[in-house]
Amino acid sequence: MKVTFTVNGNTLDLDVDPGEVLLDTLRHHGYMGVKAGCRSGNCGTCTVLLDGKPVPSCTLLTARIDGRTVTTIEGLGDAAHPHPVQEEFLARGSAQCAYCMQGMMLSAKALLDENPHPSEEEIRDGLSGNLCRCTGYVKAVEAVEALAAGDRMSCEPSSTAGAAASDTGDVGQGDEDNTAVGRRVTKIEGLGLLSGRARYTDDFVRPGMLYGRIKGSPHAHARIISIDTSKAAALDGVECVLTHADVPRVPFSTAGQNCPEPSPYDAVMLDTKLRYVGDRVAVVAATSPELAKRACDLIEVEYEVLPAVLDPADAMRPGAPVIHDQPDAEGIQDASRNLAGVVEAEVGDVEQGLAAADRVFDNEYEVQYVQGNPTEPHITMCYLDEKDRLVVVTSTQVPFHARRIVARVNEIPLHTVRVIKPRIGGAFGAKQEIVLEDICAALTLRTRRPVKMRLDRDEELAASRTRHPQRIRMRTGVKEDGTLTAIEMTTLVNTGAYGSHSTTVPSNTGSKSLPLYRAPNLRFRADAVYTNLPIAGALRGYGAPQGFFALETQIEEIALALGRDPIEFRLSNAIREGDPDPIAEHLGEGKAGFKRIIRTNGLPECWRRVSEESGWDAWHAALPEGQAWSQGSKPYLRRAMGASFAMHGSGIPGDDMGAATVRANEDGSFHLMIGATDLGTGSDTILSQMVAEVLGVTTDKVVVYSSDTDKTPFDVGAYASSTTYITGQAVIRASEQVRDRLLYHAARMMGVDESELTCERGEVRAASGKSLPLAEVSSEAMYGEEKEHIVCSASSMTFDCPPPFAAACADVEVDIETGRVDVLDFTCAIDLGHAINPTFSEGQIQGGVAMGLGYALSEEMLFDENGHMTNDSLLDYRVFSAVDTPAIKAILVRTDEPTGPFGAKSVSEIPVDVVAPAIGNAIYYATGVRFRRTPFTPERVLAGIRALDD
Amino acid sequence: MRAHAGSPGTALYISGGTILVHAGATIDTAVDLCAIGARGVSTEPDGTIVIGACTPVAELARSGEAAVAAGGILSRAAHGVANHTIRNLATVGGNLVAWHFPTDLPPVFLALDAVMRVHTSDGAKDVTLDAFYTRRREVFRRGDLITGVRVPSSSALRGAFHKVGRKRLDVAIASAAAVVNASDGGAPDVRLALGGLRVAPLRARDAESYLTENGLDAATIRKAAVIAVDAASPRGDRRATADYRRAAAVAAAVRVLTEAAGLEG
Repeated sequence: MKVTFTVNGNTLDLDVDPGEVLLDTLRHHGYMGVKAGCRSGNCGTCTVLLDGKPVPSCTLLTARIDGRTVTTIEGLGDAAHPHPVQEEFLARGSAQCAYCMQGMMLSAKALLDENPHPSEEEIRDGLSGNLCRCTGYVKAVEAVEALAAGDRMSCEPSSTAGAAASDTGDVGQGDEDNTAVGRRVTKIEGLGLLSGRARYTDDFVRPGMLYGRIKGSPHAHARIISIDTSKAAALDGVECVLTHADVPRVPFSTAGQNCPEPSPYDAVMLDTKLRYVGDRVAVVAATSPELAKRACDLIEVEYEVLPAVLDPADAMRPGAPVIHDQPDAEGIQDASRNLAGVVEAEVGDVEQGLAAADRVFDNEYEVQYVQGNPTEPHITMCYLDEKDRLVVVTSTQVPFHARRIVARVNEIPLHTVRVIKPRIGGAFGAKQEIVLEDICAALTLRTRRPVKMRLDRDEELAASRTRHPQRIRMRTGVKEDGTLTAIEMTTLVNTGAYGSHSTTVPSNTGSKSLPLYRAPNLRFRADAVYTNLPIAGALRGYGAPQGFFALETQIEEIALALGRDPIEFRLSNAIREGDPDPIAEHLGEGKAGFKRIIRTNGLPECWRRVSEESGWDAWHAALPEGQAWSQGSKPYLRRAMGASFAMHGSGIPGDDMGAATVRANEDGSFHLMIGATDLGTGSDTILSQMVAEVLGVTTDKVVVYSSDTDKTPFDVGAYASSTTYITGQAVIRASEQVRDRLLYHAARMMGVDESELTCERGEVRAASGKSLPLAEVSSEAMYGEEKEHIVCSASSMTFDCPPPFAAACADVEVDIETGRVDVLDFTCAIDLGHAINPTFSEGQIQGGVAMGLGYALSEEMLFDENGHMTNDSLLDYRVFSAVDTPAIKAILVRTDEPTGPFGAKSVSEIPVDVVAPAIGNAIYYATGVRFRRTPFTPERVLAGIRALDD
Repeated sequence: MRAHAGSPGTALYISGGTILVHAGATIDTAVDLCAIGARGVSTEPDGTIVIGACTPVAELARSGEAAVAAGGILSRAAHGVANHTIRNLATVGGNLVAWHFPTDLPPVFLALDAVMRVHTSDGAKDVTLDAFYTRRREVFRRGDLITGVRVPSSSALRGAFHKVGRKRLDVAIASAAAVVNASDGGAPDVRLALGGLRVAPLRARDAESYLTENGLDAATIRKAAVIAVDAASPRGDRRATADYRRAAAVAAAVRVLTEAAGLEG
């Protein structure tokens, strides 16, 4: 069909298929800022303006827009001529991974064009179609509010970080004289990130590229009797069909963890047995995604359908179907009982502790299957370079683990593989995993052609990776005076069809939560059990949100039963500075851990700030006697507040390693090369701030190159809240070595001793007051007498793991007739040590809380009796949109952690830990019903209220 | 257009396309209904509001007409549809005929006694929404096209709309629309429509008569809501069990009746 329309002022005169959607047309014509997220109009990443109105381009047939005008993010503005929306989003740190932001900024522009002075409610509605998983929408809403109010934040490059910081008056205490650390430096990617120029994996297109697709299992448990691929292979344009007979059989774990890998080797690339709906039956490469889909449908498979087991308790019973009966699996605890792994640890003697208690509380808690659901689904593109090396461009958190695993399972030498992580559209743990890389590589090795594979949204939801569902039993002994005598946590963990992260996630359920309150006797046991359901893996919080839901709910229950104020009860029992964390030594990452002493603990201050900001005391003081809730605006609405605490870790002690290389350029600038993986969190910027601070320059003098196994030093990758804490130490060390070399040359030039020199404000300064510009020193080093290219590398590992601490308050409104819970406000304070970049730290808190809100209230993977996920679209898998999310208040509480880089601890995962228990506690006060199972859906809440009434 | 409608299988009518395109339809020939125009909202001299079938839901939400009709229930319902981007594409006509999930506008139009303008091979005709949802096969044939909706309006109408979803913007688990004619002091003219309970929305005639006979107060409203929901016998699906849907529908019905009756500040 002929169609003519304009895009960003350019006329497109096309002949398109009637079924082609605008998203594909635009990307085909190079408008790569238009992102594919769900292809069903539910996520908004593909938003464009059609005659000025935001629309999802994935549901709009190109043939229908004859004569219309389209604006994409590229047309909104670029780095040279940015639109105020782009400048404001950059200045306020509104974007993290920025995959969703290309569309969201267009929505913001359209909203302001139509309504220059929108209320907060109107802003949230105007962004409601743009789902974001990183930010909690807080800084985007603030940016639109600021634009409406004319209260613009100056958008200076990071070189004048001070300008942005002074605008907010919020430079960290003691950071006033810093060039970079503690300042609200904007992202080093700059406006390119917000004008459609950042390249995500899907934006890499190569000549002759094929599209790979997995044929997923229709059965939860089945054996392949035979496969006939002849019809599929015969399709014109189908270049390769691989089944289990065509690829090496190398048992491995898809978990991207450090060597030696702790998860069982229970997977192979393609197997004769299928263990969940969506498991790999075969894989196809064809000249178009549509053709690859048709080819998958044409593969004929004869299955022997096996009985499936969907519940972990059933899976452990004698006679249950054995899911991993293959003889070549390694590292499974007891395959005959479907037991992937067991984690056990004890401190003191729990039975004695319980016997010595005045009261023992024994409760069970249950948490559900949820999805990380990044807006950019899993995607990988492989090709052979001109030297026939395999290049894997992939949306991963773990490039170096991916390289090792891809090489091993494809039986090729590690050095023939190069993994590159380009810009990534969110990850959250789901991409600490080899979901596509191994098989996409196999297709490229077989066809010798570039192959791109990408999960559809329904596959992302049902067949990528999930948070481990758990049933947690808590037995806690307490004296009448409130002293805890023992805590025992026993959990039944559903690891799904494969044991990815099957012991390490459960061990963190205990190791993160159990130290929070002082109890002399602690015991933890987790049984990680296989079922024929989707594979559980890593997801932000990594077991801790599960543990804290149980702990922080039960602590509240205990305090109330003892007639104590739950906050006072928590604070009086909480771990303090100088205390040992006794369980840390026994409960490491799938093995024994290391001794830990708490050196910094800002928990009391966190609570003080939360109570102040949330209005906790005033609200409680105004309550009628004997009533824990206040009346909402309707007779059926009750408002209440609930609190929770948490602690977490900073990296994996004795396991994580990050390395950095810093090079001095002759103009006084520096290159930083890191294997670390910026997932949108801003770690590239944060690490550049550390280089800048050590060398006394501003961040615009630091060029960062990261996440490329050919060109950057090793890093385990982005997981376990580790990058700032672990890689940051390596960056500081390498920068210090560079500084020392610069001072050596400067001393030579100035005729003074090195010990008298410092690097400050772009100069080398001597105690005498004399100084030399850094550029002169680095130029002399390179071109002068001694001719040295100053290149220094360092790696970092540590046995320390200082915990950040958190306190939070949820302010909710419960509709007691429908059971729906709306979150009016959520306040979260975190002791994160010293915030290297306060803006980014707030963003981590706001985004983590938003993910926790979905976990607490609306997200849940549902399955039918055959193991099929029944809500595998964003229409029914409900993540929080801008209208559901409150203006989350993030508070940074500073401590100076002596082991941390510039005093920093971690921040990225701990916010998820506090949300579900705080909301559950608030719902209890509103309704009188104690919910021990998440999510608190309207249906469950109403059932609870009715059971109480009966 | 007639030729397209008669051609086998592959031709599809597309309105907003927000449901159809992602439902995975293979599209060989698309007939763009919006090419016929039928877009916009206007008021006739007698107060009747005329809405073109191809009017985007967002345009209806913004229109002054929707904001005044029966206390603004049309704009309230339209504002709650899907999200801000979908609303710019999805049309009023599409919202009325969608079958993949319960949509928000039908109960409101039902309660407003709206009439569809239908283009048929024999010319134009009017079909009440009620007839469309209860006797669709009889009144609407293959090839017929909805071109608009006519909403009788009077300043004496008070209305309310309420949707219960798992979150704020969501597919309705249950929704209810009520319109009360407050023009005279006699027996109240009450109209109640429910959505989300079954595939099609419905008018709650028994509940309406009960209220006309017994008047509007807190007790009769609760009774009427139960009568309405019982008559609808809600179904269970992946979004809600039948039991929950029943409770949600009763709550929604009570709320809209209470508000439309002016019983709550």
